[in-house]
Amino acid sequence: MSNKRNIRFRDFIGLSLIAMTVLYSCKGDDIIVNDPDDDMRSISITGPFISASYTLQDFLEDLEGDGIFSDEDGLLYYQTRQDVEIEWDDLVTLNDVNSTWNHYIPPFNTGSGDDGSFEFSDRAILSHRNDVRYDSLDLTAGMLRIAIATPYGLSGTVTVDCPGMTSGGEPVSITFTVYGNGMVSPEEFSLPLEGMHIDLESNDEAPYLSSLRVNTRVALEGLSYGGDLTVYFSLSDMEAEAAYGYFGTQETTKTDVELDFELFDEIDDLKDRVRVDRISISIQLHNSIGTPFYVETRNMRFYKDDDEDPYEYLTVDGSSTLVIDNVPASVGGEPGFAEVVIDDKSDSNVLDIANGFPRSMKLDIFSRSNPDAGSDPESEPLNYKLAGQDLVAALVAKIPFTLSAAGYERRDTIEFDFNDMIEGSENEVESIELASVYFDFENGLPLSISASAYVIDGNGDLINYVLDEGTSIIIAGTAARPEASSFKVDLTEDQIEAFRQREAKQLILHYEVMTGKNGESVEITNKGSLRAKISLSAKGTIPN
Amino acid sequence: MMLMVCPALTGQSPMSTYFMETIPQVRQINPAMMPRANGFYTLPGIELMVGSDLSFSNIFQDKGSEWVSPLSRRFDYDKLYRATGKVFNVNEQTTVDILGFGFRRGRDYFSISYSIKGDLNAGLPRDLFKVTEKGFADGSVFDFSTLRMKTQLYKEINIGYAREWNDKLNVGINVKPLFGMVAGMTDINRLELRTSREKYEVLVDGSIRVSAPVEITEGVPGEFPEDIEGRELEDSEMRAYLSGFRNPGFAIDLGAVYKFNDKWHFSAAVNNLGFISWKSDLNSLSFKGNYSFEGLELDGSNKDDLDDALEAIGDSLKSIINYSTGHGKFSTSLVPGIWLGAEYHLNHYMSFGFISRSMLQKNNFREDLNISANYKPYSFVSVNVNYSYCFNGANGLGTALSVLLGPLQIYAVADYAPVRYSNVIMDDSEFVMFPYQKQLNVRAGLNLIFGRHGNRNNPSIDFR
Repeated sequence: MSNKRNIRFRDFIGLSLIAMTVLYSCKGDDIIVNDPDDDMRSISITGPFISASYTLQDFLEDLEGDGIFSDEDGLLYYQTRQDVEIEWDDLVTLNDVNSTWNHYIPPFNTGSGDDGSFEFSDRAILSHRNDVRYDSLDLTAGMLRIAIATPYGLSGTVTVDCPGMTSGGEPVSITFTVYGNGMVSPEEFSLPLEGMHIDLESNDEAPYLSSLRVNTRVALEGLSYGGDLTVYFSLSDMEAEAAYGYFGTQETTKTDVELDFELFDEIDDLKDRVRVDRISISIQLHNSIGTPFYVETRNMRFYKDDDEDPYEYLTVDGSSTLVIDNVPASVGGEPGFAEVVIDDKSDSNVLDIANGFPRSMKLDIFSRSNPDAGSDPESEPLNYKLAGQDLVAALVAKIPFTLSAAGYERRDTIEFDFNDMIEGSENEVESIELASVYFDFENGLPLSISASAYVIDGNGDLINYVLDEGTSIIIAGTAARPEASSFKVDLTEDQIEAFRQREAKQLILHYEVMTGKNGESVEITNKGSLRAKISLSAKGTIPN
Repeated sequence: MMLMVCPALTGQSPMSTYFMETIPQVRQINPAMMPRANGFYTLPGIELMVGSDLSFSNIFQDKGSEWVSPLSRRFDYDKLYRATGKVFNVNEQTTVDILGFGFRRGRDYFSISYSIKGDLNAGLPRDLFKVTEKGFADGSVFDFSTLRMKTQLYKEINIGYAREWNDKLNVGINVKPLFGMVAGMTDINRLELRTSREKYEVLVDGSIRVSAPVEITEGVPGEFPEDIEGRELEDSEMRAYLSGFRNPGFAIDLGAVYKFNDKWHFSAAVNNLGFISWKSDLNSLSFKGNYSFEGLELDGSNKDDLDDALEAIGDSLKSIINYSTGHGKFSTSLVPGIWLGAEYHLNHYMSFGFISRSMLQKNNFREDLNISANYKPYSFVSVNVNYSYCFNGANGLGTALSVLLGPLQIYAVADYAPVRYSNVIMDDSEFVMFPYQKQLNVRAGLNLIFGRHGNRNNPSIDFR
């Protein structure tokens, strides 16, 4: 009995333990995890975004294409330049020469012992003006043609020599064979003149009559009853690679030479509020010709927009003509240089013209060779001109960034569609309670900017300001002592909702720029710097 | 490879096993415990222990009619932090018993077994939750210095000896040569993130050590290595990893059982006192420095290309933080456990037990209490039902069952058994969850038992 009781007790205990386990192993209530949108946790996120540090020097390389440079002191300036070639191709003019020389051959009979040999000498004139002398020429093109005609019945040879015309040191010489029936061989002698060197003669009596000597030697046989030997001589289409001599007093005028001020075109809206304090306009003459020149610039006139009529003429010392009385000749391959500069210190209206912010400038350039020509040929300089040599006038306008500006206002419009922008992210945008963008500047530029920004709807009606009027963006400082400024742009939950409801369409930026802190004159150098730190802060609920 | 990512109540068996003297594996907890059988062979078995400081009910809080996530303003973060402490721990341990045997000889009991163990212990800083609590607010300091990770896979040979010192006292010892296979551990002295509107600052000081087939290609001295990648093992290397005896270690377990009288037995054990010294395939990466981010840095050098500024952030992290690599030896400790037990024998087949288990681990001290009813109605079956409570942790029922089919013993043991479940409905999806489950310890296996009635002084119920 005792054993049976024990066993029952054991079973009871065992079953009880199992039952406890099973009972405890029960399914609990369903767990419904629910985070409604209006129950989401509010958190903050803040952090730095951008730390930027620039000097104007960083941008100079990119701005060179726009004509912005810095000088050795770092002062920035705008420079525009136009090189103009003053055509002096006619300084050395080689006209065609067509000469016919008749020489009388007296009667003789070589059968009776008479001599049939004769010599004649002629000159081909190459000077095209009565004050031009050519001493030598090196030709790159041209053609020499010679032909003769002899009295009938004679035979023999006629040799024509040009001792001043050489090729490789050998003078040009041609011998014609004459037959008794009047035939001459060759009928005509022609010779291309490329590479030919010509030495020309002149003399005191006729110093500007540069000529090429042509000698004719006759050796004929037979019975002559007397008659003319005719020599036909021509030089045509000559072009000189080098010409030496004296080129006289020649003149040329180039009109409507133009210089554009592209920068002023881009900052057209600045002109009423910005005043430049310095400017220089220079005309630089680079002379690679071995001849001195006298140059005048005339009627330097300035245009705005696309006006046909100039709004102003430059006058210096009461004259609208600038004179460079002697542009030296090139010597030893070194171009001669002369320059005339008109700047804000000159007795001129150049500063007023600059502050008119012209779009372009035009002028006429007159030049004359050998300005010191006298009556004595002995005192005349030796001129030369090589192919490709030019007289170039460089028109250079240089405007240092020494300027003042006050009250310059600008308004920019940024088109956007707020509802389009946030499409697909409405939940995230709705969860924002306050978003702020912080701006901290250290300004080493001598410029101050204040601004405002606001958002308008499609009808142009104001929805809300995001940047209050007169917010100081940067305050003028110097590279050595930058000025700090800070501001922030807040975007509140209510603003966002207003942008949504009223379908914000445009962001209007309105800002005012001045030099210094009160519009005073400043110098902008490449050391000008700007440090900007932009950081963000947002508070809102976690998007569900 | 799964074993390599297992975590950590390192080396500690389920508490449900403690009073199950019919199961030979009881010796692995308290080496003074003698299995009832006169001899045994252990066949393959497996033990899996997973634990976390947080359950579903900590991460999602019950607010009456509904539960809320950490993203809700109704979520109580103080309550969450009380559950996590400074560190939110995730632990896992897996033991695969390969083979073993033991036998009684007079008052002595001898045993030997071979097993492979893997554990993973990860500590995640509490401050991670501050991100969802407050975001990255101005003036915030996030202290992630408690971030840690330790994992190891090793082979253990357990040589046990127990003796009935006298009629009242049993003592025992397990001597355990260990042989490490792979390991990795972090040692973070400082890892902080400070946020403000002006800058984000990261302060780091720490190191990572591994003993594993990893190749590190060094680059510029002081900078982050050019490349870190796993090395493909050849067959011979793989065999060396699996069967070699490198990376030696050693551990001991000590235990005692005091029989105060026929009713009351008291016991104590200290186990897993030991370490593994890692000596092969060593690589370490140390890092120290402060990195400050003050925004994308734009200047004249990168004004035309924002990508350069973005790349500069990565370059700064590589160069401002001072990195160094090395190949120095290191050691990892096992997690020691202190077990205290008291058992009241109602009669010869029924007893009630109490266990205190303390696990000593940096930033992860754990104290478990367990009460149990142990029922051995027949010599071929024994049952244990228990309830465990972990301070700042889990609580729940556990059970153990051992059945003999001839000499073949089948056993299964579980602490913190998942017994309460619910349907969770969240974001239009529905799934089953054990909402209060923080921990699960299970063990199952086979043994061959010889002399199941045990010694004559303590026969089973059906033998009487």
